[in-house]
Amino acid sequence: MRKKFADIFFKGVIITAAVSVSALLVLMLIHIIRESIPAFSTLGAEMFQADTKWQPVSGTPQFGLLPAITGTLYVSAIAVILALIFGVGGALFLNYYLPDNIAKIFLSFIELVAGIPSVIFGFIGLTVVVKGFAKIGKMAAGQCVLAAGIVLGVMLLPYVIATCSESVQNARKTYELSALALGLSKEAVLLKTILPSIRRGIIAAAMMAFGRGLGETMAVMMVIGNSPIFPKFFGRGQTIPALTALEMGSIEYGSMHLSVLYAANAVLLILLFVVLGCGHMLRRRLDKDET
Amino acid sequence: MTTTFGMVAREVKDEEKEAIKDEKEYQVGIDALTLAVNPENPVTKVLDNLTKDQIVALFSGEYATWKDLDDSLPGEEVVVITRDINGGAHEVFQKNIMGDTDVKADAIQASSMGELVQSVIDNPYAIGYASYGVANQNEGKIVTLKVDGVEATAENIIDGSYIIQRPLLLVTSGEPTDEQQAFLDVVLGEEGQKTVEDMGFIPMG
Repeated sequence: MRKKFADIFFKGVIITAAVSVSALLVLMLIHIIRESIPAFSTLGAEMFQADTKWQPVSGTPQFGLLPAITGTLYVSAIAVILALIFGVGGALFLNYYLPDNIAKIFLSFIELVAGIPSVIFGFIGLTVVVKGFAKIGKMAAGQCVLAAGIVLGVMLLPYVIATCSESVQNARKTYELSALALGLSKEAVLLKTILPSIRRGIIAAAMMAFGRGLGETMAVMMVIGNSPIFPKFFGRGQTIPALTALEMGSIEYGSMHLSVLYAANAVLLILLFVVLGCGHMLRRRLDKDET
Repeated sequence: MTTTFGMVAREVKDEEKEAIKDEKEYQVGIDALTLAVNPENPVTKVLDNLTKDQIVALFSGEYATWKDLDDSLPGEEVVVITRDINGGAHEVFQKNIMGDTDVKADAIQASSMGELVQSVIDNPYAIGYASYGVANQNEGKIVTLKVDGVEATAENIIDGSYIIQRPLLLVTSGEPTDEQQAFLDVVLGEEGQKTVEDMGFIPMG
């Protein structure tokens, strides 16, 4: 009887938690959409035209979001590519070439990196990466999309390594002994069996990293220059979260400016849905291929 | 009543004065923005002063390179660094210097005054407006230029001849109560004004 009561009690707690978390998400979504309605109804497509500039407080205000949208995607893409290259390599190295106990120490240090406040990354980015770009690259200013991509890439590394590490461990359990028994060398096992079999893990890691990258604010804001122009690899740019954080502080409540920022974040959410959706579909297709 | 004192770092607008019943202002101090460049910038050897028109031209992008400012300077890009365009510091700069001209789109927007000054320290061809206090803290690492022949000193800021400045105000409604008057006495008295100075602003006294 007591056990039954405990069951019902915990079931209740879990259901309440699940429902309230979902409800909170829906509420936030509704809030963002509702606040962005003035922007969509008055400005509409004008916000997404390439020749509309971002001049929210100018005498002739213009609210063009395209530079920030492309900037967001550009920075995240660079960061994810960098994080994947080093992250997958790092995960393989940790699991394959290091003794287990040392790998564990390394892994916990790497996970610690995920806990460092992003303003620290931003400051290191500003004083090392940005400065380095200006000195070595002979650029007028080191603030650029690539600098932001590099800083963000380092921040995403722990996520990629943690996810891939798990996949590598699983793949080793399944394939390693059989592959070695067939007489394959360690490197051949790594490249020909382990690497292909963790494809799904890599995609999952990439999607998670991309999702996180899209939302990163502080570190990117400190190194990208925050110029509302179309991003170039070695040029300045702007991302939606950085734009929001930069301008939200001193914004006039109830203004069109605020509404457009909400609209920008509605767009960011849509991007996130699309990215995660694509990742999910890709994984499902790979699942089918494998069975 | 919910709030007794509001802190405002600009002139109170007329419509705001009307909206507050029996509005009263107490000026706590003054904040000023200095025009800061890197000590390695060759402009520091040629000029120690910028006219208002030159500043507008530099910040609007009309002068794309330092050579456009003065022929003896290198043709390096003028890297303009501002605070966020709709923030308080920029509002002061926009109102007192830029007027109706917009700052160029590829200006770097720093998210804090510290970041802005760090960027000027790191970049020999950068120009930005550093607040008076932060500029003094970084003396030697950045060089400040005169504006229309007036140097950003405490005297010039207090007598109003240095134009890029804003008042730091406490705004309240109605006559202060005894407790409120006691608070004002501390803030506007010796101790409070010393703190204003320590924070890098210009005290009133």
